[in-house]
Amino acid sequence: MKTLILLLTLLCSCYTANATNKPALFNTDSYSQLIEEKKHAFLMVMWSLDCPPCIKELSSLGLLYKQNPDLNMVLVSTDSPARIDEINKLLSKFDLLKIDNRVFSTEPVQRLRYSIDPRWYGELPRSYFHDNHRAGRSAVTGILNTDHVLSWLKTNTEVTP
Amino acid sequence: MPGQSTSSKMKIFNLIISLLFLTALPDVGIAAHGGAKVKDGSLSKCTNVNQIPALDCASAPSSVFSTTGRLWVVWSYAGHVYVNYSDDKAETFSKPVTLNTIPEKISAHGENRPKIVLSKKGDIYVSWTTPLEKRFTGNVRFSFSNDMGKSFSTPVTVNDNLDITGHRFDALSVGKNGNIYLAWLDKRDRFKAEKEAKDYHGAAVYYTWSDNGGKSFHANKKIIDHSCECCRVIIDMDDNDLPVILWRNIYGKNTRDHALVSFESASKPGIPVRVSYDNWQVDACPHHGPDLSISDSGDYHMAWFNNADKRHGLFYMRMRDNNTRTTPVNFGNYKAAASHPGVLSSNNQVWLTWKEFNGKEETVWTQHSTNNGETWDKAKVVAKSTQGSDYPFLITDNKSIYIQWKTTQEGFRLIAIDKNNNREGLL
Repeated sequence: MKTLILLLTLLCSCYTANATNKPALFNTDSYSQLIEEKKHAFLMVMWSLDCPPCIKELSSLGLLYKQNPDLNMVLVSTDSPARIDEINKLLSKFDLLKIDNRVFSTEPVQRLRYSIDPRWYGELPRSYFHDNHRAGRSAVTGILNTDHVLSWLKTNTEVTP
Repeated sequence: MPGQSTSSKMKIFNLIISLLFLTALPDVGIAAHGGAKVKDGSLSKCTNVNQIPALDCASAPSSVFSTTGRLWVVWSYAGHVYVNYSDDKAETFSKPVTLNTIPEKISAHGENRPKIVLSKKGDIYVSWTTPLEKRFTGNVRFSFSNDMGKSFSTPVTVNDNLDITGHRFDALSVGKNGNIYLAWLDKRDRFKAEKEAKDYHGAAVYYTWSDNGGKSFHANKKIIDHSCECCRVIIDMDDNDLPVILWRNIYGKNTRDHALVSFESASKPGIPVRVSYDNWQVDACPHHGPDLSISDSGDYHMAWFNNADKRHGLFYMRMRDNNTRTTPVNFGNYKAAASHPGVLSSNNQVWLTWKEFNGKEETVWTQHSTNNGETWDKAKVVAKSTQGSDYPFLITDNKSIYIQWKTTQEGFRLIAIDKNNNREGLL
C-alpha cells in the first residue's frame, strides 16, 4: 500500500509538472476559432523543437516581444503534446511563456496543416501575418526579418482603434 | 472477496506503472504524428510499453525484399530497434528480433528512420540515428546479422567524431561486392566553427564504408560543407558498384537545391554536382528530402520537392553524367499538396510515388514509364487513408513493384501497384 501511495504521489507530481504553463492544444478547428476571436492584427508563428532555424526564430521573437509587448502573437509548436516539457523549457528560455502558446494535438498532422493553409508543406518556421480587421493574410517561410515584423506592426497598430 | 480485492489492487498497480511509463516516454520511439493510434480506441495498444512491441505501432518503418522474396522490415518501438520478416507479402510477420538490448533514443520520423539493406549473400545491415541529450545532436548506429536475421551484432557508433553534435539522417547501402556505405549529415565542422566563434551554415555530408561485412568501418570522410540540416540523404549503387549520394544542399546564402556525388572508388568520392536549379531561397527546414534510383544501365533517376515561387512542386529528372541530364518535369498535383516523392527504376521502367491530401483523405499516387522516363502513363491512386500516414516507399521483389505505406488506421501496408483508378497524366 505504501508503494501504491508513493507511486500515486509520483504520478501526481508528473502531471502537475506537465500542467504548468501548458500550451493549449491546437486542433483542426483552432485556426478558424482564432480568426473569429482575434479582432485585431496578429502574427502566428509555427515552429518545432526539431527545426534548427526555429530556435533562432524564437530567440529573435523573444527579444522582439520584450521590446514590443503590444505585438499580438500566437506561437504554435508542431511537435507532439508528449514533448510539452521540452517546449515549455525552450519558451521559458526565450521569455515567451506569457504569450498565446499552442501545440499541435494528436490529430493527423496533415489535417492540422491543411486547416491553416492547404499550400503549407510543413516547412518551418512558417509565419502568418493577419492584418487588422481581417483585411488580409500573408505567409512567410523561414526566419522572419525583424524590420518586416516591425513595419507590419506599425501599419497595423496605427489603424487599430 | 479476497481474490477480487487482490486482483483489483494488481490492476490499479499495473495501471499506475503504465501511466508512469507514459509520462516518461516523450522521446523514446513513439512519434505522435503518423504512428500512435488515437482515434479508434486502440491508444493503449500502442503506448503501453509492457505490451509486446508491434510493427503497427511503429511510426517509421523501412523494408526491403530479399532475392527469395522475403520481406524484411526494420522499425523501432520504445527505445528498441526491431527486425522481422514476412513470407506472405506483409500478411503475417515473424517474431521481431531486438537489435539493441540496452534501450536508446531512436529517430523514427518521416525524414530520419531506421534503414535496412541486404547483401547479395543475404546478410542484413541496419542503421539508425540515436539522438543525444542536446537538441539536434545524435550518433549514427549500425548493426548486422550474418545468420539470416536470427541474431544481430551489438550496435556500434559509426561516426568517428564523438562531439556532442549532429551526426544524423543516415543513409545506408550495400554493393554487389559486399561493401557497405553509410552517409549522413554531420555537424562536427559546425561544432568546431562555433567553438571558434565562426559562422557555419547548415551541416556537412560525411560518409564511411566497410569492406568486411560491417565488422569495422574506414575513417569518416567529408563529401561537402553546407548541406541542408533536416532532409533525408539517399544512397544508391551505380553500374560500377559504387555509391551515389543525393541530398539537399545550401548554395550561396540560402538557396536550397539538390546535389549528388558519385565515386571513383570506395575511398575516393568525386566532386559533387548540382542537380536542381529551382532556386528555392529559404532560411527554413523543408523536412522534405529527395529520392534516387539508379537503373542497371547506370541512369540516375531522381525525384524531389521544392517550393520556390517560380518553380515548385515535385520534380523528376534523369541523368547519367553532367552532360546528359533531362529537363526536370513536374508531377503530382501541387494544389493537392503533392509531397514526399519516391522513385524506382528497373531496366527501362521507372515508377514514381507520392502523397496528396484533399482535406479529408490522404492518397498515394503512382506514375509509370516504360521508356526510361521519357513519357509517362496516367497517374493512379493506389491507396487512401484518413487518419494520418507515413511517406510512401517503392520497393521490389524483382517480380512486382510494391509501395510500403504505414497508416495510423490500417497499420503497415504493402500495396502492389498494377491496378486501381486512373487520373489524367500530369506529366
